[in-house]
Amino acid sequence: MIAIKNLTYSYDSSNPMAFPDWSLAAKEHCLILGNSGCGKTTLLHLLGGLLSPKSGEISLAGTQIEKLKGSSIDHFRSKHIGFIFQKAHLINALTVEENLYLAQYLAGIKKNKQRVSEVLESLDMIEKRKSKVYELSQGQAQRVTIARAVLNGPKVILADEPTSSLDDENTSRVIDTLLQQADLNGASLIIATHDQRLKEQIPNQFKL
Amino acid sequence: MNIFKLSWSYTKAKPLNTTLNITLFAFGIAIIIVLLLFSKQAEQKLNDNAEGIDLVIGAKGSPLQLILCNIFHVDFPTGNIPLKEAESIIKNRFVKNAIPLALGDSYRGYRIVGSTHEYTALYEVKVAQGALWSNELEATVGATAAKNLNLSIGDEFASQHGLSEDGYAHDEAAFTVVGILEPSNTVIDNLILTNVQSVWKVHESHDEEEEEHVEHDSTTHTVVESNLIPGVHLEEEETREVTSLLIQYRSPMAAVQFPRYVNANSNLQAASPAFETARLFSLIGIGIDVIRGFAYVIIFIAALSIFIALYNSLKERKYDLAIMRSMGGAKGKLFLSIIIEGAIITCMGCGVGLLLGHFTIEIINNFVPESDQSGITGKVLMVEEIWVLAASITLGVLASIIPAVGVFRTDVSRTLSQG
Repeated sequence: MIAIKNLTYSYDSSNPMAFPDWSLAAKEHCLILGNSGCGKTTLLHLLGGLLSPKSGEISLAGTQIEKLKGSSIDHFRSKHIGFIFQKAHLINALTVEENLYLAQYLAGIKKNKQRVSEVLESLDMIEKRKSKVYELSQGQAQRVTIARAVLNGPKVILADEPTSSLDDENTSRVIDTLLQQADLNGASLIIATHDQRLKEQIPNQFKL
Repeated sequence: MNIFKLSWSYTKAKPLNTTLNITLFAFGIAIIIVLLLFSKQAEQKLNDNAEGIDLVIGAKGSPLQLILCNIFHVDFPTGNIPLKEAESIIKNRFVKNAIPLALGDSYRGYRIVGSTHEYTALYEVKVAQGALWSNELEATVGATAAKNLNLSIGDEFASQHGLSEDGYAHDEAAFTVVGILEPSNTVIDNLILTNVQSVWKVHESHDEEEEEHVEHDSTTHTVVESNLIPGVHLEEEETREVTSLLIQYRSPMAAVQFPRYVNANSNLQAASPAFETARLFSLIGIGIDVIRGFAYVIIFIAALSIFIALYNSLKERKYDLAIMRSMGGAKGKLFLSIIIEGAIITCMGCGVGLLLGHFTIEIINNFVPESDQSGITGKVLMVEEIWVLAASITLGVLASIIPAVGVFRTDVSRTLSQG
């Protein structure tokens, strides 16, 4: 499903970053662990096609994504990858459901009300569908970002430090939700984190 | 969800900012539209009213006043000229046609003009009801004047001396309305027309009673028919006067020689409507140019304000743009969404400004009677307005291009990893 081989990246020429070879089967979940600054986010962005590698191969769902250029990588990402960032980063000018319709529109998928309801239902957010994003609590906002990430049925969900600012109770609730949604949508869940609390729930780990 | 809805949501998300920008734009546009409607229509009116009149001859004074008084009927007369001199000057070979005007009286603010039927023919005005005047103290009333004074055929009214409403009333000689003219959109609409003799009669009624006796005693001289006023016999001791003559030339050559001839060889003054209206416009033009410049400054500030608003919101929207890029939004699409946002504000500003401009003219017409008399209306669209709108929309879109270019500079990965 996912495989990286001889992957390197450098923000500037003096400081190249090399990643060990690694692979993950479809529908399996994994933690990317490591201390701050060791390249967790960089790897996540490489996997998601937000950065392009200096050298090496990234294979995702049978596509060599390092070879995709320009808007084709954007298109691929919108169809196959769901991103969850540390902060919610929802579009404040839009309502909850409009944020989700936007995800469909930007991915070039026809507006599908039923799918939006279904996802919001599964995250217990259906009552908030007409709410403005800035009216939501932090936890509700995060659930909307999860809804947005899984909306288009991605093969992979990439989550960057989704729990770093949460207490124990909320952390386990968020991870449960993420796992549940990943399984529901048949996606692999990859979480980049330094949060040791997650190890219990996701035993499969990739250390940097 | 589509790109227009996305842009629209962003404009709605900041209602105060959007309102300010739309208002600024609308005001700039409205001022320009008002000036445009006003100056174009005024120019058109002036030209229509001066059409067919090559030269105005009257008493010495300001040439502009002569034109304003005798063609547009706004200023006061420079004085009168002796009928005798008028008769002799129109014998000149350059003169094809001359129409006499006798001014001096009014009825409730509307001028009474003594002239010949050629005057209505000049403006091609038709009679709506009744007929043109034929005898003394018969009046044919212009369309606007008839409506506003509530005059109809058979009504009688006494003229007032002078051109203001508080003039001394000539109660002893009442005019009878014999006809109403059709609206012509010219100055005639605001006039009460009669023959020259009526104006004389109203003014000289006291003197004439004595003179008449003298006349009967000495009727030995030959009778000379007036060339200027049909039905008037010139007397040896001619003392009667007219206010002015509207002259049509026989040939274009006359424009060079005839005015100089009149000004040099008589106590009369000749003024060219074309020259004087051009001079008037160059005088008013300065004021109009200043206001127009001011309006362009407002539009420029509006564009600048849109630019700043988009530029600032783009800083706040850095994450929005990065997240939309991460969701597969192509750069071109997001670029376009910001341009559309600028265009929405600009177009709304233009629309509001267009309506505001036209309404302003109509409102002025309703509250200022003089403006209504001028016949300027807000119910017309002009080609120039399309140019103003097109230029403004272009400016608004240009103002949003620089912020929109920011889309191409967004480093998605760095922005999102920052937090």
